[in-house]
Amino acid sequence: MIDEQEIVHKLYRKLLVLYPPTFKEQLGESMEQAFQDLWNEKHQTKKELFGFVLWIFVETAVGIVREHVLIITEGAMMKNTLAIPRSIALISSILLAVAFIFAPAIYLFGNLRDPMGPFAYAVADFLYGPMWAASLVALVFMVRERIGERAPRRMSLALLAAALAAGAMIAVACIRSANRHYHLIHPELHLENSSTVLIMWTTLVAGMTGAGWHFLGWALLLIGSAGWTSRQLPPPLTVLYLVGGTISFFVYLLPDMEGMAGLLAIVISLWQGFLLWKSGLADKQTPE
Amino acid sequence: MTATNSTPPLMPAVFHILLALSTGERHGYGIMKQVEADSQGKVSMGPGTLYGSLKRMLDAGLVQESDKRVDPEMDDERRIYYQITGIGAQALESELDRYKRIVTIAQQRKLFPKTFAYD
Repeated sequence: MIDEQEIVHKLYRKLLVLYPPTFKEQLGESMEQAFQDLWNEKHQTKKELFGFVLWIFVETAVGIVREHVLIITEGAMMKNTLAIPRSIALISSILLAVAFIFAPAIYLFGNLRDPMGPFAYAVADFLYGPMWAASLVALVFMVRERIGERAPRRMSLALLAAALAAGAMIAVACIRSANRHYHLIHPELHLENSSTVLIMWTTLVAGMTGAGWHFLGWALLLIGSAGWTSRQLPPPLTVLYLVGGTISFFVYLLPDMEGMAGLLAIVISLWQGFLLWKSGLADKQTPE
Repeated sequence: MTATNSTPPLMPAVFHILLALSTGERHGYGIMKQVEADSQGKVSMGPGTLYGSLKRMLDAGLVQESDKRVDPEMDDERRIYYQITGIGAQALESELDRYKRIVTIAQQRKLFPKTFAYD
C-alpha cells in the first residue's frame, strides 16, 4: 500500500511540473498538500480509490491545459475570473457544423482526377481533421466551464473523451492525406491496384473513424447526463445529447448510422453554441 | 457594507470559494470540504479548479494569503491559509444581492414548487 501511495504521489508531482512555472512556484506545493489530504481521506474510507485518482489526474490535467490556454489567450487574468468570451463557443459550433456538412460531401461527391480534386480533398481533410478537432474540444471546454461545477467528474471525462475523439479524427485526416499524396507522386507504382494497400488503408481509416465516433459518443453521453442532473441544459437538448451520443457510440459497429449521427451532432453543436453565446450576453447585460 | 452592483457576475467556482472563505480563513483542502458542505455534496471541487481559481482571485485581490500558521506538531506548518479581502467580500455581496433579486422575481411569478414555498 505504501508503494502504491508513493507511486501515485510521484506521478501527481510529475503532473504538476506541467503547470506554467509561475503557477507551479506559487501554488504547486499547496496543490500537492491538497492532493495528500484528499488521498488520506479517501484511503481511510477505502472506497472508489481508482475512480478518485482518475478524477484528480484528469481534473488537474484539464487545469494545466486551461492555465496554458489562459496565458496564451489572455493578458488580463481578472477577465477570466469573471467571464469567458462566449463568442468563441458560437464560432466553434459553426465551424464544427461546417466540418460535419462539407467534409463528408467532398468525400462522397469529389473526384480526385478533377483539376481541383486534390485541393478539394485536402480541404476536406483539414475540415474533418484539425478544424473538427479544435472546434469540438473548444466547445466541450466551454460547456464544461459553464456546467462543470455541478458535475465535475462527468464534464472532465467528457473533455477527455472529446480530446480522444479529436486525436482519432486528426489521425484519420493524416492517414488519408499521406495516402493520397503518395498515390499522386508515385503513379508508376499503381498503388490503386494493390489489394494490400487498399485493405490496410480502409482498415486503418475505418478503424480510426469508428474510434473517433465512439469517443464522440462518450463525450455527448456524459454531457447529456451532466446536463440532465444539473438541469443546466434545456431538456430537449439533453435528450438530443443522449440520443446523438448513443448513435455515435455505435457507429463503429453500424457505419450506416454515421449520417444520422452527423446530423444530430450538427443540431446539437449549433444549439449548444447559440445557448453559450446567449448566456454570455445575459451575463454581460445583468442589470446593475 | 453596501454592495456596489458594478461587479460583473462571478464564475461559479469563484463564488463558492468566496462563500467558503466568508466564515474564516481556510487552506486548500479546507476550502474544498467547505464548498462540498455548503452545496450539500452537490459541488465537489478538485485541486485543478480550486487552485486555478485561487490564482486568479489572488491576482484580482479577491482573496489573500493569511499570516495564520498552525502548530507544526498538529499539522504541516508550510500549509497556506487564504482569507477573503474587502474587494472579495464586496464581490460576494453583489453576487448574493443578484441572487436575492432573482429569487424575489421567481417568488413574484410563483415559480417555486409548493414544497419550496416560503410564504
